[in-house]
Amino acid sequence: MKVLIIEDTQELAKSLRLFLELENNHVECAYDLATASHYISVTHFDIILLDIMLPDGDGRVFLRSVRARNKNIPVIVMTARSEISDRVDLLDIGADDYIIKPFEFVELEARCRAVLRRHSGQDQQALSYGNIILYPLSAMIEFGQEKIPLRNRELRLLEIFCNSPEILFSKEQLTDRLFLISDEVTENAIEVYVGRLRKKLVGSNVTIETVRGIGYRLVKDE
Amino acid sequence: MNKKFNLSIRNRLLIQLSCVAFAISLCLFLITRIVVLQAITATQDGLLTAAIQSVIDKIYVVENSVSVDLPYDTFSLLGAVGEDRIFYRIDDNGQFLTGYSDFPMPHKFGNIQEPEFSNVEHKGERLRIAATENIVFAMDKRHELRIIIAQSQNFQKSIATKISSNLVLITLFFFMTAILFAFLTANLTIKPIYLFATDVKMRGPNNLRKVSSDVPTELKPLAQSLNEFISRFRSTLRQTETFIAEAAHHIRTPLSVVKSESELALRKSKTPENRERLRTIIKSVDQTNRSASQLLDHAMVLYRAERPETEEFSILYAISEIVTQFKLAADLRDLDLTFSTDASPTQTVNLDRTLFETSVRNLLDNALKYALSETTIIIEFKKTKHNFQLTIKNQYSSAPFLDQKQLYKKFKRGEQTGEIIGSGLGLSIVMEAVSAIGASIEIRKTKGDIVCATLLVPY
Amino acid sequence: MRYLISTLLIILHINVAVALTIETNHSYGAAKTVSDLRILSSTDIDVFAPVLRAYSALNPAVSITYSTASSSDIYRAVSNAEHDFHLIMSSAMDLQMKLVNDGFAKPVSFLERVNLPDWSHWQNKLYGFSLEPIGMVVSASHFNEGDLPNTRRELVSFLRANQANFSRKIVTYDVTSSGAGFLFATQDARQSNSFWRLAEVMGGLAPHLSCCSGAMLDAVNQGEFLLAYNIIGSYAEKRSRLQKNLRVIYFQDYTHMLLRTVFIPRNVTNTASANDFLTFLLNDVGQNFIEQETDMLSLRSDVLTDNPHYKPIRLDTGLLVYLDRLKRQRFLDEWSSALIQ
Repeated sequence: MKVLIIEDTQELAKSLRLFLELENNHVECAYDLATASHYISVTHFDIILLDIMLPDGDGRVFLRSVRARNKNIPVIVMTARSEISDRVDLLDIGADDYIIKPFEFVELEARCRAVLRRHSGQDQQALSYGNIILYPLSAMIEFGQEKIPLRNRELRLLEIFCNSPEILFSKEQLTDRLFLISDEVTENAIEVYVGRLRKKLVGSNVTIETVRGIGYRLVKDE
Repeated sequence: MNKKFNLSIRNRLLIQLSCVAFAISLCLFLITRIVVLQAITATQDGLLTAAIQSVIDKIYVVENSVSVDLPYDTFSLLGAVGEDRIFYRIDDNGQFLTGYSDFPMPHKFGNIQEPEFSNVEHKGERLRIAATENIVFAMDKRHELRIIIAQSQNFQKSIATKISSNLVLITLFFFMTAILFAFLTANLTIKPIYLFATDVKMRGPNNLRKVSSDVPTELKPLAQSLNEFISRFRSTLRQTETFIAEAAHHIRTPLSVVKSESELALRKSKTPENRERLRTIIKSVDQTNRSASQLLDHAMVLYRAERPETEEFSILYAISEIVTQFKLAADLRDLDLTFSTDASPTQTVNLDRTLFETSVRNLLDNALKYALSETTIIIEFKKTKHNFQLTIKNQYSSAPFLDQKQLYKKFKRGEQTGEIIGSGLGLSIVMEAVSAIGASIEIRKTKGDIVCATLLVPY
Repeated sequence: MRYLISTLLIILHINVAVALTIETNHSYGAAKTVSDLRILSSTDIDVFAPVLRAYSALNPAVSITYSTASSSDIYRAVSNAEHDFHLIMSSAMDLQMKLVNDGFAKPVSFLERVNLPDWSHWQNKLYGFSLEPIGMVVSASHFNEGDLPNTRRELVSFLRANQANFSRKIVTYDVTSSGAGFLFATQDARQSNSFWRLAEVMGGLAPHLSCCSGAMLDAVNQGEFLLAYNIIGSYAEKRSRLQKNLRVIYFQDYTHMLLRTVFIPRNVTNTASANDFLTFLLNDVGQNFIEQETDMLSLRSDVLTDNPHYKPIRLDTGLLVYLDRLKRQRFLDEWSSALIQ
């Protein structure tokens, strides 16, 4: 996925870039609108993260000009302004969503995912591994004749595993991606969700395997 | 203070116009009266002239002396009209000839065509005198005859009285008519001012539109300066809003840098000690951010509450939009949101939308924050007989002891909220916003640690 | 001529102070040393007594003194203010008019509303209270019924035709001494030129000149004179009831009506009794009484409407004219030259 970050606070832009690259995304950073305009004229991006206050102009003006050029690129506005003033008109001028600084990566990731899902519409790709099919939008898994609903965190966990099957995830990695830091969870909370998923996967040919002392991975039954 | 300064323009105008009307009426009365009196006097003078001429006609010469054969009918006529008293005297060469010898002779005499007229007081009566000098020759002797006829002024007086009383009626009628016109004029004059004042008054304290430029020329400077003031005021308001927004920006940007750096470090960190330290840092950042944000929000709500900008909007649409926006936040906390309503999207309210949305948003924010994981937050929106009711029910992770008074106190948080981040300003902001839009709120704890917040919005 | 001059002196009151000569005094009502209502009048008591009795009957507590004097005496007394009367009554309209014009009268304030014809009063001071036609009285026994003249023209013709019979048989007022006679003669002269023709004719018959109507009527009744000219009707009518030879004739060319007038003199301080009496005299009760119970006529008498040739002498300032020194002199000169031949 190609992400354009338009953010004049370079430290923030850099850490966002590092984070997104951790998730296997391709990221470009623009510290002003001129650079950003240049980027979007030469390359295609899957999503734009846009700051409002930029040294050479207002992000909202930029957003309007992007939308005027019929660019259907998903845009998430990152705003540090008062929660009261800005929300409504950001959506009105064409932002797909907004996120208020400071935010957690989990939230940013979730919003990106949600926006991208909306853009790809109904024919979003289902994830499959072994004989299970995961429908993220309807939060269902299907195997055999069974359709089983998943709670949000169960879905997120299974999504992580399905996206990278047979890859080993540490408890910390999973916790960081599943919970907000403000959520009061212990490191062991992940075991609860893994336990729940295992119960729901009974009858399928995939299992979450515990690698003692290291973490978990999704494997197909042989 | 001079009381007069409190008089309305209309009353001042009325008083001034009435004074003018009174003065004109008085002048009219006096002038007409003078003219009438002059006319009556002229009539009397004409009568006296005719009388004197008929007396002169009756002067005749006997031997070497002069005599007069007074005309009966003339004297009869003189007294007939107003039963006026008559005095006369004829002197011949300075010697009394006939008539009233005690009647004083005037100093000036006219001729036969134009007698000299004067007024005199005689025997308790005011008299009009006609005096004429006429020269007659008898046997070559020159006789200078001085003839006076005096008449009392009963007739004049009675006519004058009659006319004056009519005149009083006419003048009174004129005066009343003038007052009526003064009244109408005052009202007409004052109408644009009244309309202007009503326009300014009816718009309420928050309507910062320019006042209509369709005012009389005299009011243009006032309208202009009012408009200048309004636009200055508007820009001041905008600056205040901008200031608050800027302040938020300047606080949050560095916090977001710290937070994302820390989070990145957390993701890369393996040791539990480091992870715990980084979590603590991030939580402190969140705490700081939340407090700062709420303070700014609070300032904005207070500022807005002073001058709400009302608009008409669909209340259901506004609420469901907010609910939709919270869906993701709920998902992240593994909470379900259910929204049910029996209201129609066409039902609108007329109030400050920002304040209303702030109230709802803060209520939902609170519900999300304190809700027990994997429970459902039930949102219901109903239209009752008297108002709209928005009810938000959630199961508390650890239901705080709810003291209604304590709940809304700034910085005073519910007990046993444990580690949940919050400055305690949330509900206080809600209270300010709610009361600013004329709504009310009710928070109850029910069985099974269910907390139920109900927002009541009048139509 | 002596007469004439003295009358002149009196009328123009040139420094000659002559005491008022009261001819008769009559009292009515309660006996008091000083009467409540004192009336000075030129009207004979015989004529006016019924009115006084009627008033006294209604107001028994009021003591009234009714004094009579000649009209010229009355004029002089009032104009010199040498009297203490409450009411001045006189048949000499011209003298009354002059007194009021010269300011010797007080305004009357009536106790009740009185309804008077406009011509019967002058201002609110001089009030006429009765009408009496002026007529001619003849000795009936000396006339054939068909010979009686109805107009002055007929009278002139009649006298011319019967000069022998009427020589020294005509009597009339001596206008130089009688105020009433002067008034009647001057009004005649004013009314019609035929008066002077009549005067000439009468002058040719050597008329007798008398001061008083009573004496004239007695003489006519006894046949001493055959014709008395310008006699007040009320006297004549009254006498004719007893003296059957008297016959009263009112001319149809014109018959003057004498207006007896009354006023309250200026020097009266307490006008209450005078006001009360005037109210009685002029209101409907008094006027009806005058019409029905006396030989006088009321102001609203039917006689006026029935006889258009009855002319009340106008109560206005024209009356002053014949009192003018020169005018009077001229009139008397002409009158004397006509009648005293």
